[in-house]
Amino acid sequence: MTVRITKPEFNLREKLTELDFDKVPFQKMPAGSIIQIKHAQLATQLLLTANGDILSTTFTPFRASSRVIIDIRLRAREESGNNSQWFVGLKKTLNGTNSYPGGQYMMHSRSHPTYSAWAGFYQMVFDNFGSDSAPITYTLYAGPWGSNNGTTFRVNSSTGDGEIYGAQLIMYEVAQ
Amino acid sequence: MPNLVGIGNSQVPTNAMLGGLAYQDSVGELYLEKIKARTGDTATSIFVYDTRKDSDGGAWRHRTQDTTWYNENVGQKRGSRKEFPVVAVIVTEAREVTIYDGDDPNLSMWMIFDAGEETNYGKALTFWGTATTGVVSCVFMLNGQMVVGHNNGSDNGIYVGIHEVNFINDSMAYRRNFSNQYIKYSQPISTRNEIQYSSTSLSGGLAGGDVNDVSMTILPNAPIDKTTKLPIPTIAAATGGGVSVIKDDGTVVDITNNVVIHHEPRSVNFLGDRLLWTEGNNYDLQDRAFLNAPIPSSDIQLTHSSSLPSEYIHYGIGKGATNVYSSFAFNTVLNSEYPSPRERKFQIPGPDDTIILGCKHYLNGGLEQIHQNLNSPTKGALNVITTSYNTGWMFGDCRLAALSDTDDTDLTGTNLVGNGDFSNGTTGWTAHNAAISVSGAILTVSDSSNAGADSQAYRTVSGLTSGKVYYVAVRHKSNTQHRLWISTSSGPLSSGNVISKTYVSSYATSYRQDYYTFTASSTSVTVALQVDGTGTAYYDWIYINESIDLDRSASGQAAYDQTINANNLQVFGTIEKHPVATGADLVSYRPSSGSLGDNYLRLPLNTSIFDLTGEWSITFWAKNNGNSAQNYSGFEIAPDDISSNNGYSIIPFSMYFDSTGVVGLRGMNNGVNIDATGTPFSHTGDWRCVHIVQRTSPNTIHLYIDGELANSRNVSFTNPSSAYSLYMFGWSYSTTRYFGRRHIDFSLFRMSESAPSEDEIKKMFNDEKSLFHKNAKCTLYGASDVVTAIAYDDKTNIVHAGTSSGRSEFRGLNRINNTTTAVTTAISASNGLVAEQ
Repeated sequence: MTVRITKPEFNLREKLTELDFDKVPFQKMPAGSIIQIKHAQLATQLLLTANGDILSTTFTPFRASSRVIIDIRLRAREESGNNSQWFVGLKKTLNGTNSYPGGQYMMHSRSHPTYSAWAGFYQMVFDNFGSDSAPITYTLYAGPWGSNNGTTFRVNSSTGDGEIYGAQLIMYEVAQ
Repeated sequence: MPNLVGIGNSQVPTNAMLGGLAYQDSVGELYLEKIKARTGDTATSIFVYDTRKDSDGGAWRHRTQDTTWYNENVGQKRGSRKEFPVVAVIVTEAREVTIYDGDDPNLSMWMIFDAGEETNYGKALTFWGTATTGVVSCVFMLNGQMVVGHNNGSDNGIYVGIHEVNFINDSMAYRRNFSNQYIKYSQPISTRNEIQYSSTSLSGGLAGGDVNDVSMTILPNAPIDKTTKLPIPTIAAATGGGVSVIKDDGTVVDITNNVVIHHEPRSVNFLGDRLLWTEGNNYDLQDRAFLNAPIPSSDIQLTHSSSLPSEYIHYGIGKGATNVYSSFAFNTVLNSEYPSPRERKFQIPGPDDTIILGCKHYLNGGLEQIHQNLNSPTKGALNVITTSYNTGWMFGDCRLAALSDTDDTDLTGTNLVGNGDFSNGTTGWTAHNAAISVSGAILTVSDSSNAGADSQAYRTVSGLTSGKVYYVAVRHKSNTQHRLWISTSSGPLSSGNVISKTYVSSYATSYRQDYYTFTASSTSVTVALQVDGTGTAYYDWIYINESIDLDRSASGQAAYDQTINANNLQVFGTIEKHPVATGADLVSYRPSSGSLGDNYLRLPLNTSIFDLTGEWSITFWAKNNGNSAQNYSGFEIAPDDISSNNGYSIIPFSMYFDSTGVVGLRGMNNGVNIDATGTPFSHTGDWRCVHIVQRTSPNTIHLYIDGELANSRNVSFTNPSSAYSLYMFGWSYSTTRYFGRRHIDFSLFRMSESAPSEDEIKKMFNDEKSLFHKNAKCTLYGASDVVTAIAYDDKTNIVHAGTSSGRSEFRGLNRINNTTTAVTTAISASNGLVAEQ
């Protein structure tokens, strides 16, 4: 029996030129490197009185083996001030299938019976891509908790107050 | 004249000395020659270890000057190069492991380990067992750590297992199948071929002893080894007792089964951070379950023939094979089980979370690729490649994958009824109580005087195979009640114990076609075409023919008994096949230019084969071939009896291509009606990918062309209430069938009971379009489907499949290269360097 070992010839000049790269190829970056960032932010006023999406963006990973860190930043207000309760979650849609990498109810907030205030919600989710490098849509959504409906959940303030970007999604693709 | 001019370091050669080189403008391209080396080993496995893939890119090689192996003298089992090669080729033989220097074009020996099973104290890579039958079976290396597996086979391998050699911290150890059998040697690597007397016993043994395969990976969050300064690998070993995973925290977890004889792990790998393995009977070669799952947090025992835990994904074997777990995402196609002998079906991770399978079965061999959908495993996709066909992607619960061959020999339906089209008058037909004649290839059976019972033309049809399924088709009309009888009795017939059909007199206005199926119980039957009472019946043709196995999906013909065909396509007349492009392997299909209505395909359907009421999809490629259009071409899912049809009143689904390039959908009494914008098929020769997708919630039909949505409409489908079929190369309107239309070529025609998402549709289009280019190759090279080894080079993104004809290289669905030297045992590849035996 014979073990055969082959490798095609290659152009040394081409290889040397390739080494003089202007940008480091992401394939060459070690585990832990951030190889892609994408962000989305909500600039307009959003009012929810029932389950609804706050912000969504589509992200196409370079490599199926990567992980993604999703940095969620939300500043919202429950306006009714009547002990109403809301939840916030992050939905992942891949090939038409939804999943909830941070849990379906990541945040549970309750308004003050007398005062309303802007609640800050800051969460990081560490996610697998789901064995696919197909586009993934991440959606930040909110809804009334249980039967506590009929109240208003507001992201960004009234026009003219200058309070914008109350919802942000920042995705970091991290090489593994 | 001197050759050099000048003094000392200033000397330069003369033009006379340089010859032609003196007149070259600059140094030309520098090519490093290809490596083409051979060793005389009889390998049990091969592994190309590329240190550039290590966590530090191989930098550890430069901090090993203090190790014993670095400072070892040159000898028979140690080469002259001190540092570890950037690329090493590790070849295991039964009783030896050799590391070759892959940086050296001559592939010089770098280090040798003695190995195997002994009956006494052993060397570092030999086991102290009860026999000498244990041999090296597998090897893997990562982050400077080599793991070597041994397999005994004669005593369940209780005295063999794996060895671990760490070149960075200069240590060696082994593990066997007892909990305390993680043994660390006290001596360093330079003593590898000496008897090892001193060691430390620790917990961390394996689930079994006989090791069939090993693999390693670095998982996210892996801790850093303080001696190597590198992340600690996670090691998986497929043993005779189960899969053992040596985690990066040092603990060992096992995946076992309560019936190990049917669930011996065969191959093991990592698919991202999931474990990927196969299981088979421990008394034969077959891999019969193809699994992947998260690495368990603790030992887990699976149950034979039961469902699997959540997050476990299992692919079974189709074509009639029995699966060993009750839950599976979908079946693969290539049956490695039957006919005997059972064989290996190798499994490795491929590109973009694709799983590669190589089937070694002598009859059902080939290459399979599974594009896994982790979130919804039943909605993955499967591709099958052999020397004679390439299916494209079969999505989800695929029920038909046809028109995917590479042989351009036309398809011809053989009619077992001699002179069944009456082209030769009444030859072969016998009249009984009737006058029979033929005019214009129409048989007339006339009983003008009520001559007696059972007025008929009959004849014997022979050449059947008992147990096989046969299709019957008859085209007829009469304003008198008339009948078709098929019987195992000899003629004339007074009944039909195989087929007995009575047609009422209202079937007189135009010819109608009826279709039946029977399973032969004898090698011949008698066919009678009859008219009842006084009157005349007209018969255009009668077919009895065997189906042709064109279905390459897992739902296709069972491999269990090659003499019994399944519910396959019936060929009427002749269907031409042409390469999809100049020099391309794949062929397309179109009706012959002969008799227009006689050339088409039919597939009988029922709700268990293809149910229109839920989600489904039909995917194919089509092109305008430039032939003058005869009205419309297309296909339909329609009742076999359309005598009561008005427009599309009883036809659930029809697709048409008109002569100007318009394409659209019809059916459900005009509820389906949508057209694509413009004339997508107006230009001759352009292949286009069509997806017809019915999704639920809400029920909506979608038409995609080249991955883009062309139109959609809300509609709910119902299945026909009478027998129905898929008819290709034609369409029906009211009671007329317009078959044999030939201005559209079809290829890669698939039907699935699953609906792909838009992203999956785009992927299918993008991957498959390369099959329709000039010179596109898409099959295993050569004549052998028996895949002896597979490998994936993740740097070049190439899948290698070896057969006795050579090694085929695939990127995606296309073969991009091949060799012609037989591969018998193993392939390993990294960054273009390929080692094979």
